[in-house]
Amino acid sequence: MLQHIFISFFLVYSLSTSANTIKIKVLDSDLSNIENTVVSLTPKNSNSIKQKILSPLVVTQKNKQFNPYIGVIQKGQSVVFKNNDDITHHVYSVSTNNRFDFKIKSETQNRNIQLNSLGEVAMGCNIHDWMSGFVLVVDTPFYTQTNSQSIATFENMLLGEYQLVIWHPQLDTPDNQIVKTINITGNKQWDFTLPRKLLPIPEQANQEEFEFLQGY
Amino acid sequence: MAKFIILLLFSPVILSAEQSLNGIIDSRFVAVSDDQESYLNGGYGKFSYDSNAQLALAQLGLQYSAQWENNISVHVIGNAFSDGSYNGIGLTEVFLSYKGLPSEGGWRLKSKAGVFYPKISLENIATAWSTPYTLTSSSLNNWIGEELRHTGFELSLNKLGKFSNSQHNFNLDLAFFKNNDTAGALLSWHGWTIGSRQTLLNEKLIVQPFAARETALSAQAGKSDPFLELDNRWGRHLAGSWQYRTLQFSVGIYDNNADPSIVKAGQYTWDTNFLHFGFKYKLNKQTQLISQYMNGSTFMQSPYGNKVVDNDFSNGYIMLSHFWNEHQIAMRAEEFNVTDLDSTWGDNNQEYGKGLSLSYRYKLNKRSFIQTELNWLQSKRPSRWYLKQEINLTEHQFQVAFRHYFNL
Repeated sequence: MLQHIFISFFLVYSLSTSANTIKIKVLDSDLSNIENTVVSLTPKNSNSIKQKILSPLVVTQKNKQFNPYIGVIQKGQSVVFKNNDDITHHVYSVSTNNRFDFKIKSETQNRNIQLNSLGEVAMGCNIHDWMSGFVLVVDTPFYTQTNSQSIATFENMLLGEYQLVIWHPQLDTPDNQIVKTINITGNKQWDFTLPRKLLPIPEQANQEEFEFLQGY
Repeated sequence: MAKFIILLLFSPVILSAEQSLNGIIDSRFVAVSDDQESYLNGGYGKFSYDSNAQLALAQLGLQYSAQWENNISVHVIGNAFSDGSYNGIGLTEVFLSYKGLPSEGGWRLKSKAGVFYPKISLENIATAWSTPYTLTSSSLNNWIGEELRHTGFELSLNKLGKFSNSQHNFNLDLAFFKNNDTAGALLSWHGWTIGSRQTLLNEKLIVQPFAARETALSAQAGKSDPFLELDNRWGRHLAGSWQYRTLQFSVGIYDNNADPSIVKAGQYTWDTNFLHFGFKYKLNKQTQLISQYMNGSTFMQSPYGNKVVDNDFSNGYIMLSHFWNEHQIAMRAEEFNVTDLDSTWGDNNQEYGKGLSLSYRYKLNKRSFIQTELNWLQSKRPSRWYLKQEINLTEHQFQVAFRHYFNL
């Protein structure tokens, strides 16, 4: 999806036309890798952000789990929910400025949910309490998530100063994030180590193995 | 009546709801070793089947739900049981339910109004109050299914820890109920039992024959009406649970708050109180430990104010279940007790017993299971003497079941 996003870039910054690859590595406090951590870069000259990402983020419900567990979108970009389970889910968000809830029947897709407020959207299912999912809404098209090697890669970045935000719902810092300013002057990798160990990611599984529960 | 139900089903209010109908069909071959008459037929046998029962429809349960967009839903649960000697068809629960959405901090309100089970059993979690682990409920929960039902309302407050990065979940339930003034009568008169039979809302239960039924307890009718209101007082039940990772711990206090001085149309009010505890712990993905314990008292008085039947009771079980591929085994050990505190002649309710159950379940497909179970139960009950039976009894039961869970 990232490639898709960046192929469409034709924005020209007044600063420079050179394209640079930026890598952000985020390690846990015990130096282990963390996958899917959201990393976003917002140019300090934010007036220069013109592009909007139009393709929606798809969040599926499969095996009574949200997939992806963590997603990220640009403000105004929509989220589509797809229920691939054979039962109904009742998806909700508890986040005050991006509150929503809807029932989604088996094998259906809901209308797009538009998220217009920045910040964390914490989601759940009111039928299956163990289901848990997050979407972070950012104000920049420059976002991605760390891979299995704990690295977030940004390609074709223009030179200049950026606000770097590292976010994970289980990050044990205020607002679950780390904010830094970085100055992109060429290809570069920045390494970050979390100040405290990532909190345990809740297991998206029912304690009961049996499927035909009363459910009321 | 039928016309009314049909009209209701097709009314715009119902049609705007999402409706579901889930069910369980459980048919069994049953063999009981001794020739004791089942407690359901008025004997002192501890199993719900008689020795002559061979093929039984152990449960045909239907669970209808209609859910609206405003988080309100209605639930109607009916059951049919047929074993040739103690058959029944009717409703077991009917209630309205509200389940709010969690707040940003993870707080959620729920409520129920109608007729529903008190939140006690950690076994009876599947469709229409069936237990997925074994073919029988433990004696502790079999009593819940026989004599307890809330007719009233329940308020629940949940705290979902996940929204504040906590691994602790909490739940508090407070129920106020009526129509349970006779709870304790059968626990006193036939003691603890094992089975999968739930009392239907329209059923009355046979009271065992014992000497005092001719004397001090001659006012008692031949059948106990378990869901009856005599004193117009609200009972209360407070239950709480705490869940941390794969450990769930629950505790509760039940008080039917009955005025014990009433006897009407052959039914006494029984003042019944108990504490209950339980835990469920998943040792790993495949192995689970469940245990419950209960301790309480029940008594009733003559119209002159003296305690005619006064009993303390306790019950505990522990169950280990383990599954792999299509297989599941469950082992349950239980122990129970009733202590008779009154001196009424001809009504000895003293009882002590212990049991072991071993169950094996094979999953044929997603919805169908073959399940087999062996129960061993040893009990000492002096009241058997009233029927010229041995006080000590060891019973065995073997069952093979085909269970199918469906939705329409």
